Amino acid sequence: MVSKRRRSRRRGKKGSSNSGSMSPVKKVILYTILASFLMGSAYLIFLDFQIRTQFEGKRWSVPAYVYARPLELYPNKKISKTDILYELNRLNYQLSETPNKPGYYSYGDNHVAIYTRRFKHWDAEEQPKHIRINLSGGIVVDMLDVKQNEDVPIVRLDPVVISKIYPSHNEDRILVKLNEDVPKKLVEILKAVEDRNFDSHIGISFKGIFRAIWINIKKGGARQGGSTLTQQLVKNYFLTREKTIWRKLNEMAMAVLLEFHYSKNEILEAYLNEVALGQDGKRAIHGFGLASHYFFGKPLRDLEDHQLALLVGMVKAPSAYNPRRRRGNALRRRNVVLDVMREQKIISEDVAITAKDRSLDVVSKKKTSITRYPAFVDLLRRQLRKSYRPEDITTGGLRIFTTLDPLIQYYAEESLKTQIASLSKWKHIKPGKLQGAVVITSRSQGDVLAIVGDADPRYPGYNRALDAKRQIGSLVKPAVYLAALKSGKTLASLLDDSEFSHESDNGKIWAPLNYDKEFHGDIPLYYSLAHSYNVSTARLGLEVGLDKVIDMIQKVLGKEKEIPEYPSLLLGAIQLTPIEVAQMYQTFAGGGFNTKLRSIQSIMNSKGDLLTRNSLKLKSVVDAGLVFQLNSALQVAVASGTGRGLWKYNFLHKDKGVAGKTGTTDDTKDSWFSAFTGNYLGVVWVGRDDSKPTGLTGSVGALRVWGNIFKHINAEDLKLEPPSDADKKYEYHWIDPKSGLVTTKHCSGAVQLPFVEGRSPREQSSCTGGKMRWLDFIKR
Amino acid sequence: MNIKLFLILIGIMILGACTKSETVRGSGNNVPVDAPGADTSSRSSNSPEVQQRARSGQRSAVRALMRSSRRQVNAGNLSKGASILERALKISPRNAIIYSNLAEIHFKQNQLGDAESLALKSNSFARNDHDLLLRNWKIIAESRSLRGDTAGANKAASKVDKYQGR
Repeated sequence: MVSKRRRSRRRGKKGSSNSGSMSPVKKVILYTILASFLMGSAYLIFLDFQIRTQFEGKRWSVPAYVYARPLELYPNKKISKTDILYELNRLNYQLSETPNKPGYYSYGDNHVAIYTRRFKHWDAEEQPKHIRINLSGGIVVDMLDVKQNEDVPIVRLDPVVISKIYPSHNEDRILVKLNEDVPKKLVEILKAVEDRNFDSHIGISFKGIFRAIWINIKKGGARQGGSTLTQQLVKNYFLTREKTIWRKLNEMAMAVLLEFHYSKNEILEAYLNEVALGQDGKRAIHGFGLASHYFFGKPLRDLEDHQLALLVGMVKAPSAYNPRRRRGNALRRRNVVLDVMREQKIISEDVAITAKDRSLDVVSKKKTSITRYPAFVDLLRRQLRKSYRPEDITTGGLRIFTTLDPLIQYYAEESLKTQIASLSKWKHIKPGKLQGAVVITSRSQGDVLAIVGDADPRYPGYNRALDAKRQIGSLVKPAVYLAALKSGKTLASLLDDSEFSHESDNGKIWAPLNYDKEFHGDIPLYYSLAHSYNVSTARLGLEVGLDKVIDMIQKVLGKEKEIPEYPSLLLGAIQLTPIEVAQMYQTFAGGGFNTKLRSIQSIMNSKGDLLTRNSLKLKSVVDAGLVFQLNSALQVAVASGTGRGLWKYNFLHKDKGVAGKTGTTDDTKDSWFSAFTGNYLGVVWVGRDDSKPTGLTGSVGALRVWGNIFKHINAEDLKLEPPSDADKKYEYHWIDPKSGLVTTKHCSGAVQLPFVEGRSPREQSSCTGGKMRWLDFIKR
Repeated sequence: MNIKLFLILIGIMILGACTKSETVRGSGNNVPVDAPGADTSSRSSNSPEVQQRARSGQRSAVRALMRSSRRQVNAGNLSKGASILERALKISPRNAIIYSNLAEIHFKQNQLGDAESLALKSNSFARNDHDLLLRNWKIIAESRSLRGDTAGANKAASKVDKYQGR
């Protein structure tokens, strides 16, 4: 201070004595200095503003929390004790002998006691409660509030966090916290390799620069760079690769400014999350957290010495040291880092030697999903983009409540994985070639409960559930039959399944065959659908009219899809994705109401205000009575038609009344099964990406996957009822499958089907040929 | 160049104010979890008394949600009210009254297409509940007429007459 004042006094004296006689040259110099001082200051303010905005912006970019559906428990809910415990596990509830605070639970043979957590859902806040849930025979019998000793009607747990996404960046990141997620050793290695004076310098380190030069000269090659971690962070923020002195100076100034504003730990944490460590196609791999998953398939905390060394080594030149493409380079670089670690006593000599012997241990690129549910999160992102205004989703800290049911998702993944493996073995298909996709929705509300897009459910690549456009084969038939019912046919109308060929306008002959290569003469309509006969369906569809069938397909799909008017469409020469098929079958399951599929329930902002809610959207598109008749025939398809494997292979009991349809395309390129129970709808596709034959029909391929899922997810019985308030009344009759005439319950193969009052077959058939059997194909 | 470095340091002195803020909020890691295990026995082994008790509890759950929805609607929180009804629907998916109440909320929200569809859906489950059918047809008639669908509204109005007449 003293010297400053003295200096200014001296300057003042000078100024006053010379003020009148300052030469023009001196004046110019003085003004230039003054002007550049002002401009320099202004520039610095600008730089400071820039660097702080950048830093704060990154620091505050809080991810959107994506939640699964909250588990709701109430009496008579079908759920096993194990399933509840699994959910609690996913929620990180702690087991305790006496749960006496939120987040703890205990259990016995027939009960689970949970001290629930406080949670603000989109519609209400749940208060913590100590609940005892009594279970018996696979259902919740009752629930007691332990303190109040009174019945509780319903309990809603907090939802599982299934992902954290950055809607604004549209990228996955895994932010790491210095104190929680980052091993101390990583920080030590990083400092040793990149910036030894990090703890003491002011953002730039002259000592570091000199040492770098010295070491590089002494040991040869570029072993050390002169930039501090702070400078590197700045460089990462403003990604210009130009190497000019001006840029370097800017970088230094910003580094000093950054150090001035923020603590060492804050800078280090930002660095760890920001540094570029690779490139995955268009996606940049930023930060150690993501890099750890990307290269090693596990969190940073779980990495071993040689893996930490590799990551730190890659900082210098991520692409030159890419361990997947430049193995040799990467290995050498890693070993240099291990040497540095030994020199700096971060690891012992022995450990260094062992570590150098290790391979790179990089996982194959396939297994690098950072979200547990890549297919669902993919759907979620698409719906976010489609249905929400950007300003709703670009703010940080959103809370996105989805429809995903982790329990159902678990079984969908497991079933697809294991069944694909065993089907591959059975059909001698090379492992990895057979693929599949699953979509499970709630029957009444169209909530997407589970979605799998790859036989390896963690693989975040091609999402077949959403993107695999495949021919749907016989899955289209319900739409054809629905159009036929609409045109006045009944379930017992006789169809002609004898040899058939059709000449189209261009003179081409179309002569479809049945799967069994046989013709079946006259058969009742329901029977033709249940057994998926092609010939009778083709004739029926042409009789009804291709335009009417196309109209019906569009109605049940809920969208104006362009469908070319070729007769082959009647047998499924139309391409749909599994989720489109789910949307189509949702209309059958919904009794003629098309229910829009949804994956998002609602979105709240970080303050807990409801931003948007995705309400139940349905639209009556087909007469409920027609769909009721169709569904009855789809039940027969599972009870005694192409879907009978469902109970024959012991997946579900026949009494479940499942309604569904198998689908197989030419040469078994695609194997489909789409069906619904009282509560859920499921669509499964199995096939190869290269569309080669698999040898799997819908009945033996996709059906097994479906069956194995539905065996585990508490599928409820499907009890069809005629719609009330219809203009028509319905009556049931037992129908003889051979003649399509009314018969009695006890006749072999007789099936009970609904008819519009007065429209059932007039004539009765005796149980000709068949002896009396107490076999009811559908018990009601 | 030296001037620039000098200015940089001066600048740092000028720019005094510094703020400290919270650290980065990071993402946690998934804890490995055990597999769930469903009860795959196809039929419940419960006694009729236990089943009875469970079913009655289930009805209480639905009633509790419907009450809480009503409270939200009365307080003007229509969206929340609808949301709670959708929860009730998950427990009782063929409940015509819930659908009808939902239709009413959507009507109040001026979402007339949804109101109409939900009322129609309610009708398909209403069986012989003529009061409910009447209420739904009123919503449908009203929605259609407000949307300018005169023919549809007339059709619905004749239904209203039919059920009112009884």
